Amino acid sequence: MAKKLKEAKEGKIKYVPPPPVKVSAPTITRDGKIGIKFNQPLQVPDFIKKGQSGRLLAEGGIPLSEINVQRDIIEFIFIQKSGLDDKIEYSLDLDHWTEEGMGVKINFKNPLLISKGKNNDAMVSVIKNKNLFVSKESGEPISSKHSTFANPVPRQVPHSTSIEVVDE
Amino acid sequence: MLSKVENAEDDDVAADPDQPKEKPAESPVESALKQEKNEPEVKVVGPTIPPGKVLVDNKVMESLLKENEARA
Repeated sequence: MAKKLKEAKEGKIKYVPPPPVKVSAPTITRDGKIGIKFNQPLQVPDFIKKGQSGRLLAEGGIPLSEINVQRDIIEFIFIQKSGLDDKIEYSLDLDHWTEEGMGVKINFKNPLLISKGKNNDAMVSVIKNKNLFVSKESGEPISSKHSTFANPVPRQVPHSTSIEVVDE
Repeated sequence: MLSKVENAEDDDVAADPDQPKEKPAESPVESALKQEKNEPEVKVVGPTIPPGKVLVDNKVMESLLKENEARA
């Protein structure tokens, strides 16, 4: 970034700033994996980077399993549209976070209750902390406009079932 | 023929003041929450934290987030 700006100032290159930060609407698989892709490389927060490389809190890292996704990163709200009286319960785990995207696992207590009715249930996701989604090149964070999504949740396969087998 | 085409374009551009204004497009969130007629009630469900799961303390997280902002 600094090199590019320097070269642009010296007139060696024409600097074209990157587009605004956007994340793709999350995709949700039949085994509860939420995938989010970024439209350009984003800065991975330092505590995530250190946590993913096995460094502990004393060294400024947090293991992904200890991150409270809902409280600190992205708020997920499940919309039950099936109309049945089944009580849906789920928890969230941060699976990975790279410059290109991130993954969150939804652990449904009973996956067979999901989208069981006539209409698919849905998941609304809202990025809580925009400063965690910052362009690596421009340093600009994601805007509020691009921070909220809603997706249908497909019917889920039972625990420990491979989706490759089910989809065949 | 050309004049007909031009007139047709003019017709498209001219807005009828008596016509109701076009509704703004529905956001994906509005659409997800929408309850169709004769459909059962929509319920909103948040995640739970499994008992025994260790999560980083809120204050520690706040300080890490501030550090992250400062670095950015």
